[in-house]
Amino acid sequence: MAYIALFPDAAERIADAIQVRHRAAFGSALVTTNRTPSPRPAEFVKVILVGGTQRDRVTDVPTLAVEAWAATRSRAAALAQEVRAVIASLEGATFAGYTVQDVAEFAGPGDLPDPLSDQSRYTATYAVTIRSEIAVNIT
Amino acid sequence: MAGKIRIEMNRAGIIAALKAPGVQADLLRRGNAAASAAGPGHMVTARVGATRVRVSVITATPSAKRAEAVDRSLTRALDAARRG
Repeated sequence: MAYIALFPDAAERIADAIQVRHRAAFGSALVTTNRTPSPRPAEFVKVILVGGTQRDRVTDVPTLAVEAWAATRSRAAALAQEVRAVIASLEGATFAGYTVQDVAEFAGPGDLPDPLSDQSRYTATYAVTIRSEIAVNIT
Repeated sequence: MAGKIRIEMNRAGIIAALKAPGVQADLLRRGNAAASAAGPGHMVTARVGATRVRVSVITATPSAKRAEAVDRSLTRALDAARRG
């Protein structure tokens, strides 16, 4: 018999948290998602789980690529900075059995043009340390 | 009562360690692993700076640049560099 920690879909949880906190901080209803929406809104944030490792039995450290999409490069850059601030604020946040212990920036916002559309995109990469209080008994 | 402990950093020694051939070889191995995981068209470069060795993995061809722009192929390959 062993209790094994379960971890959340980090991209989905962090995308939801960005939406809530961005609205509180900046007042606009930002679309956040973990996949490219169709049709695309004029402005949105996409959170992609690109890897990461489990640090110990109860701590996961997913690596998240966070893309800020907008109609212009300057707005995409500004949105990326807004989201950067929101993500930094997540340290200590709790979500139904999970706690964000730490947020580390692997790569800050940079311009990554999209070859498939005319939308502008800035992207940054973060490592988010998540502690789980949810476990399943596996025999 | 325990006496005070004084720690003096050996800056020259630390820099020598950060530039050591073994460190460079390890970083190159990690860079090559990431480049291999990312797919064709990625290039690894190493440079010995003033205080440390730096290894970079870049998209070196149009198809590799497109793979990163569309599929985030190089970003997704970061974990390959972590493996010991």
